[in-house]
Amino acid sequence: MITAPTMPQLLETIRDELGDKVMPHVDDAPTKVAIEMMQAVLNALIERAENEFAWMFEEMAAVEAAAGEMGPGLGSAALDSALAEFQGNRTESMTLSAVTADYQRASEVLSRLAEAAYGAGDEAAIETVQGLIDARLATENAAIGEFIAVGRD
Amino acid sequence: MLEPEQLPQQLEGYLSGVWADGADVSVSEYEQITGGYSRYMARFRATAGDKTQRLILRADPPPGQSILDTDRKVEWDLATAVHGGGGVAIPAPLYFDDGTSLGAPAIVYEELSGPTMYVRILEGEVTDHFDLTDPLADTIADVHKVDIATLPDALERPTSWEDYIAAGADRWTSAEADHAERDPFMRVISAWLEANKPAPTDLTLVHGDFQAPNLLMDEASGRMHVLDWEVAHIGDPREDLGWWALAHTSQPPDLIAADQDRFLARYREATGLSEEVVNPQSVAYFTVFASLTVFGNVIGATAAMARGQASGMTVAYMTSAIPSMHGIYVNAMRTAGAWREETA
Repeated sequence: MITAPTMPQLLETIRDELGDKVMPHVDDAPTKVAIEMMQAVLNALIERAENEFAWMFEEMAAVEAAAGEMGPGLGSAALDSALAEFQGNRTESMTLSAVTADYQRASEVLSRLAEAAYGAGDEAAIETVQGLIDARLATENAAIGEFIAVGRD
Repeated sequence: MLEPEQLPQQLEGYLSGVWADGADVSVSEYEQITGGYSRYMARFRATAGDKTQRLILRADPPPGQSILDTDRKVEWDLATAVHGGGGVAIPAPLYFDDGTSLGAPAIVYEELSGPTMYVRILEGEVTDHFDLTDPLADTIADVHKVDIATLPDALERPTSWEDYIAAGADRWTSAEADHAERDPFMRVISAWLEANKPAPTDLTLVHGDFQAPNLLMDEASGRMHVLDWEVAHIGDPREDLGWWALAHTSQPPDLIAADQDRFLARYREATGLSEEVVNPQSVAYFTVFASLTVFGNVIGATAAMARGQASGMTVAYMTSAIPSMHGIYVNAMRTAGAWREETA
């Protein structure tokens, strides 16, 4: 299969051509806004194409470890069930859809951990949840960059 | 369904009946407005003989093209009531079409001249515009002082502040359940809102999308006209202050943040609310609380795209807004004093 140029390189080419070759010939204001939106989406796709799998695997490992450590003290059946669902359905496939399905189940574990932590008023568990959320946010920011609304003037 | 290319001709026929007593109407200077992400909007001039007027059209876009699903009839009823009350400056809502004439539910407003506040504060430094801070506080205080007994029955009346806040927290969980993917931020927010409630206050009219692009500067009178009432509702007045902070993170500058103490002092003076009720921490709480109406619609639209039920560049683009909003929520929870300290 073809791996070079890489997916991010190809997406960068599309983004740059839109700005350098297409935009100068567009006078219609709604179309200009649409092109700016396309470039913003392409910027995010460039980062996701390079990093998305790694980010998902790293976060799944962190969430599973936290739930394993905190779960017994919280005594939440919903958390235990979500963790069992995640661990019992891990895929060996590396297709995007299969890994994403695993990631969705891990995300549910994180949500259940948060609900159990706040419900119990467990400060240590709340701190752990907030740390996981901060880490997830850092990943999202790396993927998207700064979001500036276009066409708002 | 709305067909934008047909609208000038459709407007000529429609306005002949409602605006010109059956006389022929010509529509000229027709121009789509690109600022909003939810409604199809255009400005134009209508002329019938010696009569001429500049007007604004706000219509539902074709299905699947909007990030917000709101009801034009409710907006019409509310805008008419608020305009009639006289306490808040808003452009006059003139005509409502249920879609029979224009292809989709639509409102025709008068067009007022003048820049939006957003355009105005983009000039120079934000500190050049501190003369607007007090009028801005007075403007949103005017909204919050509207007698809710005068508002349309279609606006839901919460039974109590406590019930309203609890229902608002629960909605984060139910909205997440309807999403196309799991979003732990929403579930954390739901639990956090319930665990960190601020001091209660009376419920009021809430604009719901209070931000500089929705304020039109009337240079002659000095008043600010409040635009875009589609998500207005009865709720906690601090929602508008919280929403402003969120909205201006993605479209700086933020005039309120530039001198929040001054703004909040003026707002408290104008509304009579105490510092226990209105302070930076409670505003931060409502930055999180207030945003579900719009955030829920954004993720609803992106979920529809994920399920193959919606398309369009605006919806695709708004997926990039979701992480930005997640970040704002975390920062707001930190500002409210109920989130772990940032680590390097």
